[in-house]
Amino acid sequence: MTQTTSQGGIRVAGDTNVGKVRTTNEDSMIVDPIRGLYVVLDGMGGANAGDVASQTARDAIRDYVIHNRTTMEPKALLEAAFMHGSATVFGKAQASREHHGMGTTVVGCLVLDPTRAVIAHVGDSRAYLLRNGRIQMLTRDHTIVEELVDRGLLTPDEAERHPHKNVLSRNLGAKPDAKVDVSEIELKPGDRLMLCSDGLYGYASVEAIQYLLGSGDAPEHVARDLIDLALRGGGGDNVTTIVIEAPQPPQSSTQVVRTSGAIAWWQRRDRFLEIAKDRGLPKNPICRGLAPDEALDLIATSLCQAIFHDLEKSTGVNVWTFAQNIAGGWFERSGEWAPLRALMDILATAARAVVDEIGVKDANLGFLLSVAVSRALVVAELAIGGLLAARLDCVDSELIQFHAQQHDRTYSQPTLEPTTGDTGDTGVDNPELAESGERFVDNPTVPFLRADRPITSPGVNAELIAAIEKTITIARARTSHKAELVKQILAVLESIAIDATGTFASAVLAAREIYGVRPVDDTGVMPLFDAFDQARIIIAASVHQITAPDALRAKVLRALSGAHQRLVGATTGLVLEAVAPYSVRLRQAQAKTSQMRDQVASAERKRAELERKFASTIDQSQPWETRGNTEW
Amino acid sequence: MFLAMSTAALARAYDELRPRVLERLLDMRATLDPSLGRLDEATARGQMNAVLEHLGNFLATGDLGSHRAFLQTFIAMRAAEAQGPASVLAMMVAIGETAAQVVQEQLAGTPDGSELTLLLTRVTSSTARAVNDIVAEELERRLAEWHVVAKGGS
Amino acid sequence: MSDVDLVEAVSVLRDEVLDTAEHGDRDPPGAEVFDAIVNALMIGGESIPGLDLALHDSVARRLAWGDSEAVVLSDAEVVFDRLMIAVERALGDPPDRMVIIEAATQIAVTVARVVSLAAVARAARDRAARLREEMAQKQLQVVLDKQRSSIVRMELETEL
Repeated sequence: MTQTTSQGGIRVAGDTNVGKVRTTNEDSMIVDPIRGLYVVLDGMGGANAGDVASQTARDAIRDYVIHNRTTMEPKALLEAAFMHGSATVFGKAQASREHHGMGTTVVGCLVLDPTRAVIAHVGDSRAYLLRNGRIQMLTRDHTIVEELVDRGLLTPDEAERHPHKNVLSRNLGAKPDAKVDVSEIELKPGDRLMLCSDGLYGYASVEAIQYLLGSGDAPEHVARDLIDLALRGGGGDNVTTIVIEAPQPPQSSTQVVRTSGAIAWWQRRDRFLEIAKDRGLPKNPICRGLAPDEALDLIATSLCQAIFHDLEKSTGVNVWTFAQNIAGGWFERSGEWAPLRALMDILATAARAVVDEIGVKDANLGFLLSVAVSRALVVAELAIGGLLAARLDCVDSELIQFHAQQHDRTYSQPTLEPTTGDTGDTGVDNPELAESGERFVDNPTVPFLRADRPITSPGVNAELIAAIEKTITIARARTSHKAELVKQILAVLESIAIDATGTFASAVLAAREIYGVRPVDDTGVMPLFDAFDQARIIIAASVHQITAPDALRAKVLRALSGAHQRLVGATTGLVLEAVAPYSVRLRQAQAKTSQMRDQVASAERKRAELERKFASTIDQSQPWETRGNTEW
Repeated sequence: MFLAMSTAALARAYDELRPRVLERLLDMRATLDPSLGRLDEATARGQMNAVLEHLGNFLATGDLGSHRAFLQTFIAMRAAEAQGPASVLAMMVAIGETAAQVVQEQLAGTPDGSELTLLLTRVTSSTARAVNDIVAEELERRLAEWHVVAKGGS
Repeated sequence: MSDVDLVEAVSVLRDEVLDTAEHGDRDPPGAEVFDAIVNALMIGGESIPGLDLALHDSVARRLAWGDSEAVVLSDAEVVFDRLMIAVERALGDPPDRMVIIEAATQIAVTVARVVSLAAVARAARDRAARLREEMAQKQLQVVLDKQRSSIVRMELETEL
C-alpha cells in the first residue's frame, strides 16, 4: 500500500508490507501533507493486539495534531500528541483482557516548511537523514541496552553482544504517559528524510538503504524499493517506510559536468567491451556455458549501463544491484572467490582504461570520470563485501550448530555423568564439577539452592498429613500410567509438603532426583515444566475430591502448592547450576581474546616501526600500488 | 592512472589536512559504525587517527603488502570486538570518502586538490578490494573447518 | 466471591506483599509476579498465551536490566510466601483462598519455566559466543603468526 503526495516542493511517499512471515500487519502510518505530519508506528502485543495498539495510537496522534496545531508550538505539539497516543493505548489495554500489555513504537516528523522539521520518537522505529549521499540516523533506539550504556553500566562492547539488546525500554501504551525524544532539524535542498519500522533496518544493510535513498528516483519508487529490499533480506517482520524529500536544488555546474561525463562514458562502451573481452572475461568460470557475446552482454554491458545511470544521478544503486546480482548468483552456485575476483579485476581494468583514454582528450572530464569510476568500483566491492560477510556469518552459525549438536549427543545418553577436564564442547570442563553429584547439594554455586536455606512453612499436623496423603492417592489414580514423570513429581511433592524441617533440603534433594541428567536445552528442560503443570492441575482437581471440610482442603492445597513452588524453584536452581559453566568458559575465552589483542597490537606497533625504516627505500618511479616489498 | 605530482608531495598535502579529516570523522562517527558512536571521544580519536596515519603511509609508499598487513590486523581486532567485516569495510570506505571530500573542499580548484582526491579514491578502492580478499581468505579457512566438522559429525 | 471481587481483594494486598513502602518510587522486586497473579485471577482460569507473553516480557526486561535469574526466582518465592500469609489472614472463605492459591501456583510454575527458558537460552548464547571468541582468536593467531614472520624478516634485512 503506497501513499504519495507533494506539497510546497516537498515530495512524500509511504509504503507498508506485512512481510513474508507474519500474517497480520501491525504497522501503521500517517501521511498527511496538509498538516505536514508523517508517522510510522509498529505495534506489539499477543493475539493481534499489536495492530489495535498501532492503529489506536495513530488515530489518537492524528486527531490531537489536527485539533491543536494552531495553538501549540511544533515540538510541544508532537510530544503532546505522542503522549496522548500513549494514554489512549494504555486506557484501551486496561479495559480489555485481550489487549492487556499491548503497545506500539512510534517515530514521527512534522515538516514545518521546506527548511525545518521536528522529529520525535518512542521506541525503536527510526528516522534517518540522507544528505550529500551519506545517511545518518537521527534517532537513538529506546532499548534497555542503549540506556544502560548511557548510564555507564555497560560498555559498548558488552552492548553489542547483549542478549537482550532488542528489548525496548519505552513504548506507547506501557504506561499512561511516555517519555518522548523530540528535536528540530534543518533541512537542506536535496535532503531526504526516512521514517521506518524495525522491519526495514532489521533486514537490510544501512549501505543498501543509503544507496536506494540516494538513487534520485521519485520517493514512491524509493519507498517501494526499500520495502522490496527488506523482503529480499528475509522479510521476517512487518515493514513500513515513509520517504520525505526536501525541494531539489537548482541544477549546478557539477551536475552538468556529471551528465556530460555519463554521456562520454556511454559513448565509449564498445571500447569497454573490447578491453573486457581482450582481458578474458568470456573465459572466466562465471561465464561458463555462455557464448562470448552473451557473456559480454550479460556482464560487461550491464556494468557499463549501471555506471552510466549512476553517473547521471550521482548515486551507486545500479552498480550496487549489478554487483549483488553477479556475486549473489555465483555464491549461490557455490562458486569460489578467485573467479569473482578475477572478473571484477577485468571489469575494473577495462573501466580505468576507458577513463584514461577519455582523460587524454579532456583532462578535466578524465579526472571527474576517474573519481566517479573509482567510486563505482568501491560500491561494487561494498555490495560483494556484504555478501561475503553474510556467507561468513552463515558458516559460523552452522559451525556453532554442529558443535551444539555434538554437545547434545553427548548429553542425551542417560548414564553419562559430567567428567573431569576439558571435554571440548560438552559444556562441562570445570574440574570442580567432576564431583558435581555430591557438590550440587553440599556446595551449590547458586545460593538459592542451599539446602540449609530456611523456608516459610505453615506447619503440619496429623490431620493435614492424612489429607495430603489422600489427595496424592487420588491424584495418582487420575494420572495416566504412561506419565512416569508426573507420578514421580506427585510422590516427591507429598514428601516435601509433610517435611517439618523448615529448610529447603527436601526440595533440593527431590529436584535432584527428578532432574537426573539431561541436556541443557529446551528439549531437556521443558518436559520437566510440562510435567509440573500437569501435576499442578491434577492436584488442584484432586483436592476438591477429598472428603473434608473446606478449611482443611484449603490447608491441603496451600501445603501442596507451597511444596510445588519450592520444587519448581529448586529445579530451576539446578538449571542455573547447569548453565553456570557456560558463562565461566565464555569469560575465560574473552580473557584470552583480550590477551591476544594486546599481543597483536604490540606486534603491529613493532612491525610498523620497522616498516618506517624501509619507507625511504621505496622506488618512487614504480607505478603506485606496485611499490614496496612488504610480504604478507 | 597518471599522477603528475609525486605521491610523496601528495602525502605531505594529506598530512596537513589530516586534522580536519579527523574532526569531520569524529563529528560523524556514529554514522560510520554504531560502536564508534558509543566510544568516548578520546578512544574514538585514537582509533581513527591510527587509520588515517596508516592511510597517509600507504599514500606515500604505495606499498600494498603493508596496506594488507594493516587491514588484516584491523579486521581481526575488530572481529574480536564483535564488529563484522561488512561494517569494517563500510567504515574504511567512509573514512576514505570523507578524506576525499575534505580535500575537495579545502583544495578546490588546485592541482594538488585534484590529484590528491584522485589518489584518495584509488586508496579507498584498493582498500575495499583488499578487505574483500582478506575476508574471502578467512571464509575459505572457516569452510575448511566446516568440512572437517561436518565429516566428523556425520 | 466473584472474579472481580477476588481480584479486588488480592489487589489491595499489593503494598503488603511487595513491601512497597520499602522501595518508594521504584518498582518493587517481584511486582511482575504479583501482577501476573492478579491477571490470572481476572481471567479466572488456565493461563492464555498472551498472559505468558506478558510475564515472559516482564521477566526478560528484568534480566535485561541486569537482574540475575536467581534474583528473579528468589523474588518470586518471597512474593508467593507473603501472598499465602496475607491471603490466609485477609480472606475468611476457604474456597476463595483456594482460587487464589491455584492462581499463584500456576504463576509460580510459569515464572520458573520462564526463568529456566531464559537460563537455557543464555547457555546457548554463551556457548555460541564462546565459539565466536575462539574463531576470533584463530583470526588473531593468523595475524600474529604473519606479524612475527614479517618482523623477523625485516629485522634480518636491517642487520644485513
